[in-house]
Order: sequence, then structure tokens, then C-alpha cells
Amino acid sequence: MRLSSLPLRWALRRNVSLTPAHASKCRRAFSTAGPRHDRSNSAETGNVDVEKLLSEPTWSIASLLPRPDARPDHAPQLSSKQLHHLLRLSALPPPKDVAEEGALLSTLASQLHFVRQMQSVDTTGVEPLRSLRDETADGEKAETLGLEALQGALDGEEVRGKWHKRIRRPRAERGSGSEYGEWDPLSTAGKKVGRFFVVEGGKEA
Amino acid sequence: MKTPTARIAPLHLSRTLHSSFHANLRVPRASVVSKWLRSRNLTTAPALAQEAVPLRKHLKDEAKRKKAEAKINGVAKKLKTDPRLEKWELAVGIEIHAELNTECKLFSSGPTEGSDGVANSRVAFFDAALPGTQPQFQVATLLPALRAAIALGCEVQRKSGWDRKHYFHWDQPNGYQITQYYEPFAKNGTLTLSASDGVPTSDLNGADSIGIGIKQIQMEQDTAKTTHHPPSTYHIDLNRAGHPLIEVITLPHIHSPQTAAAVVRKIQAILRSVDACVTGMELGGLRADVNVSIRERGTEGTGSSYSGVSGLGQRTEIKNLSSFKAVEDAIVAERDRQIAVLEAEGVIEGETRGWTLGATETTRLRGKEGEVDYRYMPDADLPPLVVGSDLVDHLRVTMPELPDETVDRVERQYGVTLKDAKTMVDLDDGDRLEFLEETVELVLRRSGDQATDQLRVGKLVGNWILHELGGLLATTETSWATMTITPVEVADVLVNLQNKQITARVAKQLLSTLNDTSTSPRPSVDHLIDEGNLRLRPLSDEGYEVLAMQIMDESPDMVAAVREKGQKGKIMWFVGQMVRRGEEGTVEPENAREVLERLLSD
Repeated sequence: MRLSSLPLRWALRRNVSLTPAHASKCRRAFSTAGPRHDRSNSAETGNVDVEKLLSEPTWSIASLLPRPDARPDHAPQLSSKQLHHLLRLSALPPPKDVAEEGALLSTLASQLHFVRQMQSVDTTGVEPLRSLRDETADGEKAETLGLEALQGALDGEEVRGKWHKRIRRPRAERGSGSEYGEWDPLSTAGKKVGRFFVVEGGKEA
Repeated sequence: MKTPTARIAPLHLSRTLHSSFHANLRVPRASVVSKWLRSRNLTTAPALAQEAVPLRKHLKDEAKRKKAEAKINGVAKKLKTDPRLEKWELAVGIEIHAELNTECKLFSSGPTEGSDGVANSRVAFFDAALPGTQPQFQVATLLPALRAAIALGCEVQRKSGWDRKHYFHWDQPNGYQITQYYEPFAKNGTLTLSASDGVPTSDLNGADSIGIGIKQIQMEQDTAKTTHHPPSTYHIDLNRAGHPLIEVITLPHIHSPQTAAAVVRKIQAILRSVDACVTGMELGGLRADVNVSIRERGTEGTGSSYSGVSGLGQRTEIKNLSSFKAVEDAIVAERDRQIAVLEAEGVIEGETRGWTLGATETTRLRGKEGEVDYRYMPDADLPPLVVGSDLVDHLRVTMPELPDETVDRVERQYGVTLKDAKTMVDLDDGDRLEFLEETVELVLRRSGDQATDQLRVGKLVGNWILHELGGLLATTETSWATMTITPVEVADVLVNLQNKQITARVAKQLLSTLNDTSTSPRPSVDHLIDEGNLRLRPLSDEGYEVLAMQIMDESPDMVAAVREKGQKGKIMWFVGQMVRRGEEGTVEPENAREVLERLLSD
């Protein structure tokens, strides 16, 4: 199982008996407390006292948010300039007044704390999950684009010339009559001029 | 003002000019006229002289005229070598974006062609970024992309990914461009260039050719087209949004502006020959961005490195160059600017700069602080691209001839010069070369038992197709595609010429007549020769002498020039006069020359 499993899975695992190896791995990944040496002893004997194991939480979801009483941690504070840069990148409107900017900065600080907790997980050698796909060998074979996948396109080409042979794809003179001939993209436009979308590029827009 | 259609000077006018025997009467050369016409935004087709001006003659006359002008100005036209280049060395890397030749777009089934250029008529739902639409990789777009990668000698990666490059712009409806940032589909290729491609000898360093490394090729989407309506309105056409592009990134192995332009030209030619990218730079189908840096010779620059090439100076990027000349000029301007800054003890900043045609210096578009953070991330909507090795092998085996191979083959098989071979391969999408090959085959077949040398025949046919037919097409303003002359006819004419049945002049006339004839019914060449009584009736020796004496009597000053001043070149003028005055198809230039030399040397 991937170490990048969400904390929820850990909570769900309470109902499943733990193998010693698995317990120690999860502890290393998620615990904010140090490793428990007495646990490892019982793990070696192969006899796990489940009650004792589950009596004390080793990790809390609260660790993902900054503690309200804690002093600002050693992480650098975000400056107003950086905030404005990020808002520009995301095409979000700038804060209206100092109070809103303060609120945005503190929210951002909480979010960054959360992200740092995520980043503290050791993921060396683990490929990031991009999306849920069939990653088995069969799945990859099904996804491979080989000669048969391109056969249709290859058949559509012609060879031009008898002496000096060139491959040419025949060009369509007029529209191929796809369904996009009937749909008018301009019907989605708020502003248009003739057959074009219109954008006001001025600074005050 | 002359309308564009009335390009040809009225025939009667030129005939009166030519009827005078004073050769020093200056007839406006085609190039001067075309320049005048061009300055008036009319046309560049040369004005019609009495007959089709062969291309080679035209070029020679041009060169002569320029030399004469230079002599008048008293300036020795010598190429200036910048002394600063002794100290500073240039390194250039190029990124080329080329539109792939496909039926539909990269991630949607929106068509790429058709609909007669009406704006916003080839837009799929995903291209317009309607909420909820998803990309779907169109498999057929892989074909030209793989051919491009194989033609440029790259290793096609079995597995590559799709990444999002985020930035907001009105020509990017989705707010991100789907590209292959982390894992491109092809890596580590080479491009070989030689002196005939335009590489200066300083770059070759004594070798025959240089190899420019290609770092990678990746597929990505094109943006929409915007037109600016001042002061600040933009009109957007989404037809082009989502069109597949390949980006070819070279390593900074290029060390002169001429080589850079040669690289772009070569890549365009190669991509065209494999039918991967068929719209050229002039139509906006190929765009180049260049990265320029300089360093002092013998040093490591600022120690920057790029993809394994180290010891470079700080580089600046020049974006959106849209012609070969722009590439060369922009690099020269940027190099000079960087040298000036460094010699004044300044520091080059890593900026993005722009270039406009006719400018003398690049303009700053974006500084380092304005650098955009693209926040590259893998696109979760798309599966990785897995390419089967059977497909790559099949394409490698069925790859059409690359331009270098074609030029080489034409030179070897047909005895055509390198320059002519290059021209022939480029013209008319290869159709002219096809014509040449078919004509040579026909000529060889019809020459019968005579020992025919393919090289000799090839050279003859090559000359006629490139220069004579080319000149004819230019003067009659026919395009190659609409030309009605067939290889059979050209072969007939040339076979007759070879067998001394007709003179070269008559041959040109026949071609001209054939060009004017409509498609059907077409008279055969032999029929035309017999009908026009054009068959060579060789003049007897007395006939030659009589004609020669006649002309010599009429122009005593020319005779004096040859006899007293020893200007042997003027003999050809006499030959020309004899050919013109003699009856059609009777005077052979070689014999005329012999007779004249005999008579004039008394």
C-alpha cells in the first residue's frame, strides 16, 4: 500500500488487526510524537496488545492546522508583496482593505502550515499519483498506441509521384461536416464583433 | 496607375527597342522593373521582353550590372568582419514551434481545415473551454509527430506525459496549455548541416559538416489567433486553439547567426519532406524563439549551463521570430547589444526580448521579476502517452526520402549541380523533380541504341526544366500546377535537339507554343516541327559566309573592335545576329562561330 494514503485510511484501519511491520511503518510516517520503544518490543514478540495500542492517539488531525496558542513557527511569514503576486497569478481580485489583507494572510499561513505537514511525509522513491488508472501491465498494454491504432490514419495517406515518392495527407477542401459545423461558438459570447470574440485589453478593464 | 493585371510591357514597344542594332541602348532589366513594380505594391513578375529571358542569363546580367555600379561608386564591396568577434563567442539555442499536418486538433475532434477560413467555425467544445469538457487525445496526430521525431534522429520515448502550463491570456480559453514539460515524447536527436546549407566556414572548423544537438521534441496545443484593434481591443478567433504543435528544442551548439537561420531552414525542409509540418514560416505555420548568450573566448562565461552544455554566458530569449531573415538579424542585433553591455562593464540580465522587422535592436518585453510562474503540473484528465515500438519501427522503415538524400541522389544520378539540385528539390513540392526524372527516363528510352550517358542527359534535361521552363513560366505567369506541357512533349523536344534536328532556339519556341496550347487536342512535337518547317536545314558554308559578310559590312565598328582591339567576346554578338537574321531553323551557333572566327581573324 502506498505511504501517501490519507489520514482517514489510518483511522479506518482501527478495525483491522495490525501487522507489526505495518504498524511501525505507519508510525514513522504520521506520528508527531517520537517512536515508541515499548511498542516495538511487543511487535517483536508478535503479540500485539490492541487495546493498549489504541488507547493513546499517536497522531491527530489537529496537527494539520496551526495551533492557535503556538507562536508563529520557524516558517517565514508571507509578505504583502508575495500575497499580491499570488493573487495576480490566480487572477483573483486584490484585498479591499488592510483588514481583508490580514485575514487573507492568516488564512494563507494556515494553508501553508497544512501543506508543510503534507510535505513532511517521506515520499522518496514514490511516484506521485496523477490519476486513478489501470497501472497493471495489461492496462498499459491496452493503452499502448501501436500500428493497429494508427492504421486508419496510415490508410488515409497517399503516395505522390512515381520516381520521387512522397507521402501526402490529402487536405480537405471544405468542412468535413463534423458536428462542429452546426454549433456556433459565438452563441457563448458576451461581446462579439462579426465572427470574432471581443476582449478589452486596456488596463482599466 | 497601372492595374496589377497589365504587367507585361506592350510587345510592339520592346520590339522597336530591339530592332536597333546598337547594343549599347539600355533596355530596362527585368529586375529593375520588378523592383519598381514592387515599390508600387504591384507585382514582382518581370516585364516581358521579346522572348522568355532564361533565368541564368538574367542572373548573370544582374551580377554584371551590380559590379558596374560598384565600380562607379568606387567602393570595394568586401564583407566586414567585426573585430569584436575575435574576443567574444556567440552561443545560440533555438526553440521551433511547428504546426502539425493533421485532420483534427490535438485533444478534440475539431477540424483543422476547411470551412473556407470563416472565423470561429472550427471550434469544438473543449477548444472553447466550455465548463465540464474534457480533453481526448486524437491518435491520428501521433503520425506526423513521430515522423518528425524520427526524421530529426530522436529517440522516441515509450512513455511520455501531459502537463499543464498555467497562465491567463485571452488566446488560451482553458487558462492552461497542455504540453509535455516533464516527459517529452522524443529526446536526443541531431541535425547535420554543411556549407551548402548556409553554414559559414568559421563554424565548420575544417570539417565537412556540423551536428546540432536536439534536446527534445514535445507535442503541445496552439493558442487562438488574436488581432489587435487599437487602442486596446482584441478580436479572438478560436479556430487555431488546440491545433497540435511540436516544439523542437536545440542545444546551444550554434555559434553564428547564419548557422541559426540555416538550422531553422533545414528543420522546415525536413519537416516538410516527411509531411509532418507543411505550412512554412511565411504562412505562420512555423515560429522560432532564440536564446542568445555570449562569452569571452577562452573563458567559461558566467558558468551557466543548459542541458549538459556548460560554460555559457547569461542568456536572453527573443520570442516570436517569423522569418529566416528575422532570425538572423535579431541574433546579430542581440549579440551586438550584449557585447556592448559587457564591454561597458555591465551585466546581462536574463530577460525576454522581442524583435520587429526593420528594427536595429531588440526590445525588452519582460524582465526577471516579470517572469511568469507556470506552475507545471501533470494533467489528471489525460492518460500517459504510450507509443508501441512496432509503430515506430514501421514508420522508420517507410520514412520518405529526406531532403539531403534527395539532393545527393539527384546530383549523383542526373549530373545536376548541387545548387540546381537543391533548387529542384525545393520547387513545387517536389513535383518538378518528379517531372525531371520522368523526362530523363523518356529521353533515354527514345534515344534508342546510341550510347546514352544518363548523367549527360540528366544535365541537359535538368537545365531545360529548371532554367528554360522556369523562365517560360515566369514570363507567361503560369504556375507549375497549371502548366500544360507534359514530360512526353519535353522529352520529344529534347530528343530532337539532341539529334540535331532542331536548334536550341527552335526548341524554346516549341515549348512556348506548347505552353500556349490548351489541353486538348494537343499536337505532337514532331507534328509541330513539320508544320512550322522548323527542322534544321543546315546552311552550306557559302551560305554562312554570305550571311557573315553581310553583317560585317553593316557594322564596321564592331568588326574593328574585334580585329583591332582584340575583343574576342564580341564574336558572340555576331553569332547572335546571324542566328536572328538567318531563316528559322537554319543557322547553328557553333558553325556560325567557326565561320566568323575564320573571317574576322583575317
